[in-house]
Amino acid sequence: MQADPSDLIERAQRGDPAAFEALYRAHVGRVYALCLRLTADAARAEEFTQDAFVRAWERLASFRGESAFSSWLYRLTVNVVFLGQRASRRRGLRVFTTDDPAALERPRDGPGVPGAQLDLERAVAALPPGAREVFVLHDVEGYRHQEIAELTGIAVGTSKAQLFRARRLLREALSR
Amino acid sequence: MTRHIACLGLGLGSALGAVGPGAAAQARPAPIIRIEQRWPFAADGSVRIVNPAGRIRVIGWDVDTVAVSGHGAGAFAADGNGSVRKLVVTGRADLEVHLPRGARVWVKSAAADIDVVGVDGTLDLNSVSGAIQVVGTPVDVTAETMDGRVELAGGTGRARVKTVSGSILLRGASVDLGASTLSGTIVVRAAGWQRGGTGVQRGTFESVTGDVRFDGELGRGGIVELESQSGAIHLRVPGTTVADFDLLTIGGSIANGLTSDAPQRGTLRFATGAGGAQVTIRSFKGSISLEAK
Amino acid sequence: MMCADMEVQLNEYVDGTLRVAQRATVDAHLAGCAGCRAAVAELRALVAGAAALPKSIEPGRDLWAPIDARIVQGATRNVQRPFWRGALAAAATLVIGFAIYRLLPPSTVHDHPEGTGWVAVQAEYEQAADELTRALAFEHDRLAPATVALIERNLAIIDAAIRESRDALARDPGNVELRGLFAAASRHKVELLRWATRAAT
Repeated sequence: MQADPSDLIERAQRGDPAAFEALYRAHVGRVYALCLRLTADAARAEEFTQDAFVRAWERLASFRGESAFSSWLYRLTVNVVFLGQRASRRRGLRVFTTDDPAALERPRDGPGVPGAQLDLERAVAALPPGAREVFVLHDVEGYRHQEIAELTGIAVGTSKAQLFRARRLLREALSR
Repeated sequence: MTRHIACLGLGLGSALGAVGPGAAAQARPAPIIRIEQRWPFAADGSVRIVNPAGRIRVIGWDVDTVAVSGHGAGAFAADGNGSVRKLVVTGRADLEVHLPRGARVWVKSAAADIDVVGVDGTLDLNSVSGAIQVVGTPVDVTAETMDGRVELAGGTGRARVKTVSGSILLRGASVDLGASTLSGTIVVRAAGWQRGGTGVQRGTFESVTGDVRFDGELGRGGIVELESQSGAIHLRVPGTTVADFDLLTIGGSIANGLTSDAPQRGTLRFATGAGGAQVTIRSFKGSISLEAK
Repeated sequence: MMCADMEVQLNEYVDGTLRVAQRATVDAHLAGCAGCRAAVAELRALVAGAAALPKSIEPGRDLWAPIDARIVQGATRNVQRPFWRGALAAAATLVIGFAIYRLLPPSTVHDHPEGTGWVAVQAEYEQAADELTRALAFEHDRLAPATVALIERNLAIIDAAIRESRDALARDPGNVELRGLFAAASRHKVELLRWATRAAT
């Protein structure tokens, strides 16, 4: 069932939609999780997930295997989300409402204590947007501040300040 | 060639039908209008006001009523019900609208100045060349103009101000401020910033060629960013301010009147104590200066 | 509870980004401060909890069908989709003087730089500016001359700023701060073009 991933990518690059669909199936969970945590909004996360895959399809030709396909795809996803969020913020939309808390309760991979995880997910979703974005990118996804600065255009100092602020707010929220 | 009917956004609304070629176009003076109406209204209802030219004054009061009065030239229409009311002027008018303090207010003008006093609800104010002035404590303000001047005084929960070349003046105590301009100036006077105890959570001020001046107090835990392309950036804060400072300019100069730390090749990073505010300043070639109050 | 002025250092301590000497200072402080020790333990638990969150979450519905539809159509990228819908809808009824259009640089919309990250962000801004410019370029003049003059003047200002930043970036391409400033200038241009749309309606 698992086709050789590099073969899939090559086929998708040559325009094979079935190969791209297989890539989609393999990565959509990660992409969606990233979008959902960054936006705390299931509807927008679904939109951004679609935008990310469409963009990935259009940009496939420029992927030369200089990194893992997944890293390339997730960085592209972060770009899509940040561009979209900036546009919405300029128009003053509230983009950080969690209108589908149930989205965080669906069955998923990985071990862990379900109750505590859910508290943490909810607390992250309730963070102010700047702090939430940096926390998700740094502590959940593992990007370093320099990478976050490159991906999002904020300064490294701001990234650190937002991260420390997020952690403080989360500790306060979770100790109630 | 058909002469277009003057569209809503511009100047006097002297309306004409299609004019045949060679016919002289004569503008009839628009009808004089006098406005005096009121309706019962929900304390948290929504009011939309459109007035291309003249003046719009919005005054919040403690009565569950919307009352509009004024005079002008053109036409006036008011539709709505007890919780949504639209007031639309075609032409120009001097309007005064009283509405419940907690209302959500949306105003659009082209050349008319917009003045809002005493509203605690949400404000969304748009003009092209008209000036916008807000006095009071609205919980959320969005104000955009092209070259009109914008001034907010009092205290807001959240404010977003944008102009192309209009100057921006922000005074008072606010929690979350954002101001953006291309060639206008930004002046932030944050006296009493710490009123209420929380201090500013965030402030973002950016311009391309206009100068950016911040004169006030920084709350602990606040994040303030000032950015310009070629405009000069000036920050004046009390000498006792606790903050991390992160300054960078590509081609401009940095002058530090707060501490004895000196810039190195366009960069200056220092902290006056730990755990305070975070100040980030970026410029392409605009000068950056820090001053102690 | 954590000592008020230790927040930054304790966070950096947990992240392992303190220099040796600073780490030693923090160690010494922790030896005598139960509040800060508790805070460090909380921070470590928080960071571990975050790293342990499920990496994958299935969306509530299958998103392949709409993606497939857009791929098949060769739909143009709509990164700022809600933003652009309004602008393009308005394009049907709005006009802008030719003078403005002439001021704008030739379209390079199909020369996409490769790679992702910042370069991709920049390409998006350029394409957004080009698309909106094309949408705005119509025959007749519906804007007051003073407004047209204002837009032209500010377009000249922002284009000069973009050129300056771009030249500086060409000399120092790895400079993250320069990229940020360049991106900000591009964003201002897109904002200005958006204003031109709204001013005409």
